[in-house]
Amino acid sequence: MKILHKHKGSAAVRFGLCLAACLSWSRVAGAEVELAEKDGWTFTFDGRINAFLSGGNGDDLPLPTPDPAGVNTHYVMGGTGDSQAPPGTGRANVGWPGNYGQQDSMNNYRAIRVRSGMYGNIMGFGVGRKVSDDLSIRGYISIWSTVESLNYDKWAPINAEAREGYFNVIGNWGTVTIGRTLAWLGRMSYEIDTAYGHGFGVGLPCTDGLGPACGHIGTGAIFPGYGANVSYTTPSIGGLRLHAGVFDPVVFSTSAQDWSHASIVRPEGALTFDRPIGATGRIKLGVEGLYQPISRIAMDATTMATSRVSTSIWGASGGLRVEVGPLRLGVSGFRGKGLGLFYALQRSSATEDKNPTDPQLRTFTGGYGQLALVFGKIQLSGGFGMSYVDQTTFDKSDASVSVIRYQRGISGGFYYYATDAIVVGVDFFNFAAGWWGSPLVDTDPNTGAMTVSGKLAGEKQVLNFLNAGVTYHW
Amino acid sequence: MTTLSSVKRRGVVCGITLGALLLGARPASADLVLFEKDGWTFFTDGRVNSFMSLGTGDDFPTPTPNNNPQGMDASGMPLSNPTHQLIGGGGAYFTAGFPNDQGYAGKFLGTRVRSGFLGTILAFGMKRQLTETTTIKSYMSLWGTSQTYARDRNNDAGLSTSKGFDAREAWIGIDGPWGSFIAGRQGGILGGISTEIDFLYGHNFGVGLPCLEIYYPTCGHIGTGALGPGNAAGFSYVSPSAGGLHVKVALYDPVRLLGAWERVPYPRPEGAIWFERQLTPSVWFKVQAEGMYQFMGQRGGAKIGTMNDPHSTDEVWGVAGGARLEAGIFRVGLSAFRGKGLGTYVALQNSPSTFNSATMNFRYFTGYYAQTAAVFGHEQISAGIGRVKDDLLPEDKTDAGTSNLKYQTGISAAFYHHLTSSLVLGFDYFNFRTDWWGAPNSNQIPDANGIPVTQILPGFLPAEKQTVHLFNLGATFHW
Repeated sequence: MKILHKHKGSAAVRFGLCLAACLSWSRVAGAEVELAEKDGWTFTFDGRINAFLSGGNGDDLPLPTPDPAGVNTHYVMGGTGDSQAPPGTGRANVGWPGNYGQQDSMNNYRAIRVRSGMYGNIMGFGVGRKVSDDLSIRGYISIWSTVESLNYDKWAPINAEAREGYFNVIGNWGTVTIGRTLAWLGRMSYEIDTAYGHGFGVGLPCTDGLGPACGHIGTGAIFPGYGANVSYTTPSIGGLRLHAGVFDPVVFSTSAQDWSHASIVRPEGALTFDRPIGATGRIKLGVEGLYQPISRIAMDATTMATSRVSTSIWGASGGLRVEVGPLRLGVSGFRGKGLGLFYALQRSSATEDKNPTDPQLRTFTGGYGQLALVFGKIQLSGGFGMSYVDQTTFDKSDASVSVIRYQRGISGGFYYYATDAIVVGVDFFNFAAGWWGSPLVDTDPNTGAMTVSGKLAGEKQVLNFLNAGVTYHW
Repeated sequence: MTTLSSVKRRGVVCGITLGALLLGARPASADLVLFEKDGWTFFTDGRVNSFMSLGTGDDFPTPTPNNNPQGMDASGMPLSNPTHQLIGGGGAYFTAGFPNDQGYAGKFLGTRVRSGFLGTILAFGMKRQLTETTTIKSYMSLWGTSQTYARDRNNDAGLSTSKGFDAREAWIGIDGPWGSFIAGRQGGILGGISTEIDFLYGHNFGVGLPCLEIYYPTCGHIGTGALGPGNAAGFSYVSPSAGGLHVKVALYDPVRLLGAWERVPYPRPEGAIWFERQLTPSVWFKVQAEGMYQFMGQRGGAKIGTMNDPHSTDEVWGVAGGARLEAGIFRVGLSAFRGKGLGTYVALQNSPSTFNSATMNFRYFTGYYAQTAAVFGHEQISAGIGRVKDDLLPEDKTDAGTSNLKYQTGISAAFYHHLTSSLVLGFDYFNFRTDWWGAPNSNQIPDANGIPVTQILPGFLPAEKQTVHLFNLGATFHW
């Protein structure tokens, strides 16, 4: 577990989901490899390379439940007919669609890939300078990539991504961070997954097309995502710290009639308490939150007059980590409006309903528990998590789509720390998703009035993944 | 030639997304070590180059007119003959010939400042000695080009992915007395020896054939007899030398062929066996054989094509081999490959020349390549010739609407001057010729209902061809 502590304590802890992480940049920088120190400057390098043989077997994204009356012709959110994020984009959306063409004639998915783990391949460079006895500055840039190419396409380039680029000003009054870093909402769940679950594993591949993988993200854990921000972290007061920042705002559409206008920056923050328990134990508690106003242009169907309609994206999350002897335990939860299933403020099919005149953001809830046992060089892990999507009023009468209801994950992992830099891992992930089922709507032939008379059975999907691979990190 | 080795050793080779298998190459010089501390070694390698590249010759050809005797309808009026398209005529990448947007009146003239056979590369690695005999190393290389996509400055920034880095390699390697194990994104195997020959004796510091006129690092002799192995995520193992004999086996992330063979549930095995030996202080040789197999399935297990081929599964396979000899100042390399569904440029190439777009049946490809070089101190003179042949399928011979690719042929010559151990000037010439089969002879005749139908006649229309001459002059700085 040395490496986990190393990364937790480093200036940049990372993560997959096309998302990386500076898990605790406010903490004292840890054990990157310090390559050079000259004239007051320090140059550090950290990173990792990994690859996993990853096999999946089970249901492909389900087909719509047939309407016995033959009237309803809905589509399953995330499946054929949903134009929001088809499998070929390599972006997680809803459920787990196999990449185009990987389904057999029975709509089953079975495929083996060589893919990156929850963290991709990373090169991180840091340059620091001590300005005075109580003031130092440190810059950090990390470059991420995957081992697999997009959509099984040998020709697709592997576009490296500058996932982090920021600098810290660190003094006895606290730390100011400026640049692109991990956001705050969901950090505890992500941190638990990294430390006790899938830091050296795969878990759920975010998509069949492209990694890095998700671990438990999307199934109870929520990833904070990256954003440009200016943040401040107080010094530790007996382990208690306040983190507060303003982030570049996020919109969900490019259409003025949809949620596309965000005029002010987004405040995000956290309150954390982190203390050792005895010589080897530890407890960490964190609560996180975000809020962002967002608006759209509405048009009156009769007068054609336009007006601005506003709402708010909000989220609250929190978690607890405890380490006692060989036992590691983490629990976390989140709830919020407009959050998304996989990462906070995710633009996906699940984010808002299809009401053509008054689209509403959906509300998401997630819970995640992770357990690990560490015996010397061996770690055994087990986790369970579930994310849940509330229907809006419009969803309950929208016969065109079956809305995602839940995504659930059950995981197990075995990790062997061969050296302080090499970790061999085997992990299993059971993924299940369920949809609400399409409402059945009757239309009065005389008046045209529509009434909901019931709903079709909700669609379901179950997939199992087995992943084995190796990680080299420094 | 020690300056070759820094890049060569890790197989950071070639232009068209073709890393090369060069683990079997000769012992190489050290990486450029930046720092060593606490048992860790941080090193880098890379290169930057640019070439003035002039191309002149034929524009992409137009289909040969169908002047076969016309059939007559019931009233005795002549029926127009069928017309056809050339494979590659839509500008499809890596398909056939030299499509471009600079042609005029049947001729092509274009000048670019472009990257060479290897693009701009920035690579870093970390190495650590685990035991006295075992080391572990990580390596990541980022590739770019000096030219913009399609001569469009808007592609220099913003949303363009063409100016982003391509993380072409990222792997972990463990070396010990038991051999080497590599996990991560790395070079493929099939075609490795031909690419190695091209790299070492042909176009390491040159251009050769630009794979695409609009973009990419270039191809050297790839596409004209040499076959690029490509890069992929995978796990590979190389045995230790047994009297000069090595075996390499690997399992790679599978490749699908979009719109045709999309269901690829199993990883792709590739392998190579080679023997190398220093006969005398000045004579060295290497012989290598390679193979690859991949199961392919059509989407949903259902057949897409409509012609007389009911299968819904198939396989791509290939075998390749070659030899290199170095004796005094002379270098010579010979290679060949054959396989089903391979493609002309890189193994498992998704292009209309790889399979029939109606039946999805794979075509067979055969390639030959010879390269020689003479090294006099700081100077190297090189010359090469190669050809790849794309066989016709039975259904191609009755498809009056298509003239398929037959040959791509390359003849090359080059002169390189190593100004210093890290700076090389290069001038090279490449003659690129493409031959199509020609569309089957055909005309139209009325059927029993008087409706015109295509009638296939003996033979083919005169085959189309294209010849382009490329002159490339530039410099490479490498470390």
